[in-house]
Amino acid sequence: MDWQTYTAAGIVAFTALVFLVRLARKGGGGPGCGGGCGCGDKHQH
Amino acid sequence: MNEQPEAVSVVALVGNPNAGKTTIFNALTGSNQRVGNFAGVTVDMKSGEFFSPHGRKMRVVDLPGCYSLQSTAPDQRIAVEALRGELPGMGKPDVVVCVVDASNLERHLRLAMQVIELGLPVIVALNMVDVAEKAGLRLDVAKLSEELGVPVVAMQASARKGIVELKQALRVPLPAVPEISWDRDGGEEAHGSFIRGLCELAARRPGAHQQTLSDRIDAWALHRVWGWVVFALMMFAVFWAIFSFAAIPMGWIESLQGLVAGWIESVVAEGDLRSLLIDGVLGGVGGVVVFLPQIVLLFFFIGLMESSGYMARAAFLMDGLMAKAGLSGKAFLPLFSAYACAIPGVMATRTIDSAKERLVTIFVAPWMSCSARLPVYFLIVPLLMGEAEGSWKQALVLFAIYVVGTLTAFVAARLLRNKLGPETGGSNFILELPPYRMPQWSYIFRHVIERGGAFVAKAGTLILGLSILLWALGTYPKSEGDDADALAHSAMGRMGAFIEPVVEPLGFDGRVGTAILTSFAAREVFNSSMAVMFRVDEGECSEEEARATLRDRLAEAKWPDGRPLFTPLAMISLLIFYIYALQCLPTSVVVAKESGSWKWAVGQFVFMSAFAYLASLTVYQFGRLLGY
Repeated sequence: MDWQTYTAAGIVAFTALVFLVRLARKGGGGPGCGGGCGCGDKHQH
Repeated sequence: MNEQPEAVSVVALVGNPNAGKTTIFNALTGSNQRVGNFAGVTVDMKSGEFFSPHGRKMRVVDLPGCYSLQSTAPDQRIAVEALRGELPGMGKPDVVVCVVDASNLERHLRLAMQVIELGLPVIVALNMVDVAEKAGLRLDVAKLSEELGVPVVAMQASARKGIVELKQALRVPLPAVPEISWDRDGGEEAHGSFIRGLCELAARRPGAHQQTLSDRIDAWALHRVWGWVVFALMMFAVFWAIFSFAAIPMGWIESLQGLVAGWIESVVAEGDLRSLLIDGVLGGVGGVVVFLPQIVLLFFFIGLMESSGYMARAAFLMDGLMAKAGLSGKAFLPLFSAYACAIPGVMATRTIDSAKERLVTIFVAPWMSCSARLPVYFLIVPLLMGEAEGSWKQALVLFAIYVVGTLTAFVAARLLRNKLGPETGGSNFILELPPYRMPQWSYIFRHVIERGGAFVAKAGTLILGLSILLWALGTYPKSEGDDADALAHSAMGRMGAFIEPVVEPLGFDGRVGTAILTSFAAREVFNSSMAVMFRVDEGECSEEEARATLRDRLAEAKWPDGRPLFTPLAMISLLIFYIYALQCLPTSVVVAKESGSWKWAVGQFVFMSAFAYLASLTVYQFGRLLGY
């Protein structure tokens, strides 16, 4: 396996980890729009 | 110079929607805050700081517009809680600036009286005195102040007149808690009687009623026949502009995407990383960002209609029609916004007073065909008609697709609204019809930049992550062979093969099933997955050329027994599936947040997926029975 394979797999693993951590942190409350939902409002969560 | 500022005083800005609250907030703080002319555009609290003329630092909080302190609407409850000091993180305000529209005193004074009754220091900002005077009102500010027992400042906030006077009124010591001169226990009737008397004294209208320009325009815009003609023309113009003007910048984005892909190819050798960057990141994020021009144009027109005062008329006109779906005119804006993207549509439901009506609107919003479905329609409709893209017949089919989605949404809303039962808290639809104004261009452009920026931010975070994960599902486990073999061997391809018996009764084979699976996080992925599954090298050609090549390939595609795969009936079945299926993970995330429960989001996803499947199945099997 070359460096590209490792790097791509690393990026995928890191992304999956970020999703899992965010889901675990937010629990059932949903990740929230974080002001990035497209609605244009800067919500105060 | 380095004088230590005293403790910060908190100033709460409150008022009916359209009273000009946010304009005053902007003038006081210089903040980049938007203001809307449609009821309840300001749905969240914004705060900013300024110094009074006496050097005292003040924090001003712009509360959501509200009609009454008894309101049950979510955004209006925030205002009430803030005024009562019940909002976490914000103490009781030191002073309340209640903004009232001088040209509509009878309605706006009701809220002002309720605020005064809270027992806080209050200043009334009598805004839009220019509009009131043009309408023939003779205002007596001193008399108003005397009768209400609070300072009253005459203002024309849009021209920054009265801002200095308001800042002067906010000097320390702040105004005393007012003494109330009306019967506070007499309820609505006592308030109404006091207001009528006060208006006789302080807002006289000498002579007969003078018809304003807004009255004359409304004679047309709200006419029972011409009103609808004006409305239809406005909506047609908006949609035509969105779909024609947006094509130019969309082309630029695609070209830029091609250039970046070419650059990556020149610096990164062939391999997984290059595939991830080009197919996963650039393809996924680019596929969403390409809709930015349409989103920007839609928000531009929404801003234009809000700012000019027409949006409130559109909601007023639509009230009767929306009532057929068990909804009020306030549901019009969210559903209309959902034509561009369900996410802002779902967010916009915050302006709806009734909790049940709000849930129903959130539930059906994804059936208003959003622009992300367009690439799928643009791929399938010309193939169905057997011609190149762009004929009027295709436009008719596209129109029919929108009608089918909208009508189903209305019927479902009606059924769901009936199922949820009558409103327990009472839904009072009050829609302000503000005077027509010249659009505030700076507001419109701020509004567009904010919303466009938020859309790009979403593409850069959530969509980026999802694109990477989807790429992984479509790549691993790896295999030798061409792209189509690799996809078939991947987790996604295996899932597609697994569900082939499930999608076959809809007229689709495993390849189409795989493409549908890949598009469950975002619909627009369908086209690129189909290109991979049917071995079309999108290479360096434009999106339109790629679609044409893919269409040729689909026209030749066959079942193993030699029957054509994409028969007209199978294509209609596919279109039906895409009209109804909720294939947008970000929408589900926002629905969960807005409805306050993942149950609604999951329920909506399951219901819409099952409905799409059953509708598609019915159409395909019924069509076969008829011999198609």
